[in-house]
Amino acid sequence: MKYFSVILIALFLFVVAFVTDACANVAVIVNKSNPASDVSYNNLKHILEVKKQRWDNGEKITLVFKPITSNETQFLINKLYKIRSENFYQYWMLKSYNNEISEYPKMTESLSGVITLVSKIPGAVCFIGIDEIAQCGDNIKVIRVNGKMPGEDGYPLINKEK
Amino acid sequence: MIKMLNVIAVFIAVIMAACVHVNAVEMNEEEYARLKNRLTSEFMQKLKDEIKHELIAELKSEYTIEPKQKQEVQQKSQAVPAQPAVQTQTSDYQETQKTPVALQEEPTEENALEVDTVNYKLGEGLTFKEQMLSIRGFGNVDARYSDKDVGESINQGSAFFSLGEFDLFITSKLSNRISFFSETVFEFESTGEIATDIERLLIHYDINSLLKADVGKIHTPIGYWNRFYHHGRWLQTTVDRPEILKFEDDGGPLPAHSTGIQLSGIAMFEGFDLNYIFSFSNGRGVDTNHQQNSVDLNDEKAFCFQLEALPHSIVEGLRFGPTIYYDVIPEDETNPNRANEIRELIYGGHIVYLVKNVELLVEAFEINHDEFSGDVFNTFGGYAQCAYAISKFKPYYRYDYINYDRKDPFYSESEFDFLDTNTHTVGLRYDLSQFNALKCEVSHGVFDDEDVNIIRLQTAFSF
Repeated sequence: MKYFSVILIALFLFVVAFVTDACANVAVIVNKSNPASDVSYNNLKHILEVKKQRWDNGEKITLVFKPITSNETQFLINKLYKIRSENFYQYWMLKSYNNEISEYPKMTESLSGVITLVSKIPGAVCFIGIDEIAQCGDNIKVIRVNGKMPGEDGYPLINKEK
Repeated sequence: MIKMLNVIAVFIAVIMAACVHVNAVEMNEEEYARLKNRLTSEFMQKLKDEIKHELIAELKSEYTIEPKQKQEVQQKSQAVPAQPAVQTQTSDYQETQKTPVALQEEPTEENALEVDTVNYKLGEGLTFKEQMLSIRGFGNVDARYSDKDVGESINQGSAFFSLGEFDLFITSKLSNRISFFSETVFEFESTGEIATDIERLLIHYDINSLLKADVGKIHTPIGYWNRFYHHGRWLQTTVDRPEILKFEDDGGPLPAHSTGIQLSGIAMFEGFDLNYIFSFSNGRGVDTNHQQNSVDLNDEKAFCFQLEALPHSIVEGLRFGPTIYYDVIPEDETNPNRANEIRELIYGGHIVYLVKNVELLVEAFEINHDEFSGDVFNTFGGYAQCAYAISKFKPYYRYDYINYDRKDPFYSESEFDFLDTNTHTVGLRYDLSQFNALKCEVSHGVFDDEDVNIIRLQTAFSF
């Protein structure tokens, strides 16, 4: 009976750990000087697809991605771009070839690189894990999506496959 | 006796003390010498190591291209000790959520990433940072076998290797809202000559998302394929373009290139987007392969308008819309059968569905030629293509169809044979690497009632 209780508790803890890890929020970060504090999911999609290339204040939007293998970039590729990750570079090459972009999005290998770029480029936007927000500097802020902050109920950028 | 013993004891004590003192002095000198030797050898070793490192660094800087700024940054970071961790409030979010305060370094010049002035990255090409000038390219090598020679475009032997197109495209950002774009293709003619074609050359004005302007030589915004795939064979799934959308110099019936102005934009709504493209250009020359890049033989200009809907809230990845093109083709004074101007009206449409592994493209066009003398000629054509990607493999199928009006003087008097086409193509694309694709396809077609089987192989790449 005692062993059975221990197994049950262990199982419960495992399930809790699995469930909390399985749904991770993806936070949208921008430069602190960016007046935007809220963006709709639809607008976010337009930004990612470079249909919308400027913020409301006229500042050029610069997309910054974590590495293609990161959970956040994989989430964007699967859920927002809806393309195969193998075609991600081809997607951008096609955009360039069609003269839709004059500059490729920036992709950095490390979180510190992301932080540096977003804090230096006024129009930069990047997607990071909720647990990484604490490492961002003074020049970066997290913006709301559909009026919700990461972690709040109804926040739309939830990576269920993490 | 006791006195004497005391004196002896004092004497011994003095001698012992003197001996101890002398020994102590001697030991200190030895230690000093040893210490001196050790320090000298350590100092010499350190000096040697430093000289060695400096020499290596100097040699490296001579033989590697390292940006100046980066070297300065390295020097600075070596000179300045690491900053102590600074306790900071990181964002609005943290203020509201009361998350733990971060311990981290302030972003400084030392960890700036954008220090390169010239950069090469596979897929992004060679980039010169000052003007964001970038050079990229595409190329392909083909092999083909056909069991019959039919028509001008495929009567160059039944089995051969072929250098395809070598495509260089250059983009440059002239300002925050102005950019330059050119696409130059080197084609290897059957005569052995190398033809150089400037396929696109334009200056792009990005006013806002609702209005963008392109001035120069553009790809006519007819349908979907002509707007998106252009000359880079690596980008398209299949070996060749659809029959109806072949380029003018390959015997294509549509005006693929135009010189003039193009206005485009996108209206974004909550559930769907609406694209529009309008072009105003010189139009066609006297025959299908005559592109009017520097002059226009008549004062009539060509207009093309395309509207495209993207209902992403209903079906993600779906886009469709109509296209209309109007032009007056000038008469050919050297050819009595082309003595009249021709009013050209092309209308068509496309339905495209691209999501993850699925690719579905359908386009159809009706080409209406009115000779002003009362004769009207209609040509109809289109294609349907589907593909499904499984890992690196992408099997595909395409159906091509064109039905020409045999009496149409614009096609019948051309240097090319415009043949009625009814073709089925089955193929497989394999992405050998991120930027190289191998394609193999088999076509069975009926060209003017003649059955033809064709096998095509292609390796297409981007750099």
